[in-house]
Amino acid sequence: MWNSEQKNIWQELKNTWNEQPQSEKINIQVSQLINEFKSKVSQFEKDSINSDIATLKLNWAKMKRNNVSQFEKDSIKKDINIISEFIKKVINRFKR
Amino acid sequence: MKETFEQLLENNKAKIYRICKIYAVSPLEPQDLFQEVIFAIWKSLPTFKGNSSIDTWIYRITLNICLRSKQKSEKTYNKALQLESIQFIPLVIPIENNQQEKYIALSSCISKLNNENKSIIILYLEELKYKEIAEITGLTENHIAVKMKRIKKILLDCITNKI
Repeated sequence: MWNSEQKNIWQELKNTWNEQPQSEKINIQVSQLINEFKSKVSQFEKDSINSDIATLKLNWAKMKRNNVSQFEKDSIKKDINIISEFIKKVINRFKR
Repeated sequence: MKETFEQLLENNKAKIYRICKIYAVSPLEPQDLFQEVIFAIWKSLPTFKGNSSIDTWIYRITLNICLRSKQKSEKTYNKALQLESIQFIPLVIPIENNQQEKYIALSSCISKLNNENKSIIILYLEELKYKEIAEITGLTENHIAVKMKRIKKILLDCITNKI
């Protein structure tokens, strides 16, 4: 439990903090500020997008048409077979 | 949004700058840190959901930006934000020596604390309650209370030696 002297000390410290000497005044022109921010963000976004495009282009160039893995080929073949069987069943059902 | 942002800046610029002055370490100037904080607030304002008070939210962003700036080394610090719309106009008002001396002692002692304790004592000096400090720092209210006892002792010992 803080005694009154300690409370006074802390209140004085709070006053010192909140009433600290102001060496400068801050002037903000908000409309101009928002425009400046928008231009900063736009440039950042442009740089980000350009960087992403460069990465993608590099990856596309590396990918060759026949550079598909055996696993992918087998998967696609399996899917095509399943779909073909299903279509055959549907056709047969209509024939009856 | 412009009106809310303008009001927000007017109501909070003084306290944001107070905090920036503590965290700005050369070559970073308080004015540079202040601009970064304002930029972060502007970017985040559309995402403010009102889960906390706007004051709490401002404090959280300010402290996050200040703490992040301390992690940047001299080499990596990038002074990309050079905003012409924020001006710091020197004031020529006579400052009482005693008041100045007290503030210098206080800020010097606060600067010596670790980042977590620094944030806590700053928020306490900003007249926030333990519950609000807990919300901003992510610590529990009890933990804040325990830490405050230690921080106050450290700070008082430090200030007493200086003044």
